[in-house]
Amino acid sequence: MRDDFSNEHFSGTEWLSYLDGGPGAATGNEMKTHVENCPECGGFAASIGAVRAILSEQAGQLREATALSDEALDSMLTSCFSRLRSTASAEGRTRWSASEAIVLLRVLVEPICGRGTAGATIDLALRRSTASNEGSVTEGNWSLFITNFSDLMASVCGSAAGRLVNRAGFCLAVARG
Amino acid sequence: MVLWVGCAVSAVAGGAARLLIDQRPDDTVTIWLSQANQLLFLIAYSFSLYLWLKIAADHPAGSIMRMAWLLMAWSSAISIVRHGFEGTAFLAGWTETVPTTLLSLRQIPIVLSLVFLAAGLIAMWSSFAAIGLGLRFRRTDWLWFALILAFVPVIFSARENLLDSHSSYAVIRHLQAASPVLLAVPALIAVVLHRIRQEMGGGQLATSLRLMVAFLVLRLVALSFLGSPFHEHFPAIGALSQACGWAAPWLFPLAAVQRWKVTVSASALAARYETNPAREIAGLSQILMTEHAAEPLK
Repeated sequence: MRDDFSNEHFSGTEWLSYLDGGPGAATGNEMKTHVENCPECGGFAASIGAVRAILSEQAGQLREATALSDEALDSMLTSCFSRLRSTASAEGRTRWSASEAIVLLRVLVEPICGRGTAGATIDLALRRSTASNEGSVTEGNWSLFITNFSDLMASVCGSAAGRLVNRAGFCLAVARG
Repeated sequence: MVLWVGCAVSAVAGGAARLLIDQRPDDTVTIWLSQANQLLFLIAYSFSLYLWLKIAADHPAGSIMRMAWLLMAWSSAISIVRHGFEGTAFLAGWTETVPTTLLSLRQIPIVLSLVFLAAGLIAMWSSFAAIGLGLRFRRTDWLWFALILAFVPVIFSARENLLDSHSSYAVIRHLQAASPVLLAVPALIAVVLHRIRQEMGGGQLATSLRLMVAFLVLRLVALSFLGSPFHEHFPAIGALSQACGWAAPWLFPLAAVQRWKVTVSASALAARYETNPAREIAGLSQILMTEHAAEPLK
């Protein structure tokens, strides 16, 4: 913590706690009232807010500039899986994590419907299956994900493709996430 | 393979018929060859009808994609009626006796076929759009849209040369006048399908869409050239245009075959997963490892 992040009325720690929503409801409210009534502290808080907004924007631009394409991310993911498994026989594997199982399903359907269609249907099935589960597929909602993915594949590529996803999906034993 | 042969035979027959019409218009061979398209198209659309119905049956009842394939089947069925009617008209001599009355009624199936085709393509787009494909267009797509729209006035300006522009029935003349727009709509959707095909990133389904796009664009371009006086001055271009125009209907069942392959592949794989799921999943993970084990992190 830097002490120079302070003014005459509050220390750096107090300012950081205030900006982060702390340190406690009572102290926070007192400080809020003070900042609203004190021109010096009000100006100080406004300048910090402006700096934060600029930093946030710059960080966003940096993230954008270094963003990886879907293909690059997929490649990285599958390479990681390959490396992790390089010493183990796949046939001995009985349980997969949900992410691994999704990659396997994707590899299964890509020759039929294409990489983009596979990605789009998986993304949509994930969104439909994880709305109340903070965006992650686990053993608990795997069945729901497979049902959604299967339905979407059936709607675009036909019932046979949907059936394939359904059978392969339920064959993959997914470990508890 | 049979369909590709049909496509090649149709293209050669079309080109030859055009050249013969220019050189020996009253020759018996010319007259019969110039009508060979009725039989060839009837066969092509019969294949299409059979395949589209099979594909529609592979989709869940009530799904938009099922509706799309059924509309394609309807379009094919109406095209069969149209070419059957035109073939009968040729054999019965109606092309000589009642060209502007009874024969001109062919515009009804022509228009219906195009309407069903356009509706089917829109339904297909809608189905892909539901998963997020075909919603973002690039500058090249807009250029294609503009180019296709540019063909509309070209065909419209040459409407006097179109089949039934001199029909005795006003309704038929109006239907004929609408043909440039009715042809342009499927071609515009072809651009959308082309974008979807690119977004798909390969696969059997994308191959089907590629052939569908070729079918839609090729017949518009062929008709544009054949409807204009341009081909009269350049017989080779006229022959090439007619070859393309005659080959185009075969691309429709070829697209259906590629789509049917999706169902066949998926069914075969699903059966394998039912028989021995552990072996299939082991095989799948081996494919994943083989493909990516040696690949460095990007």
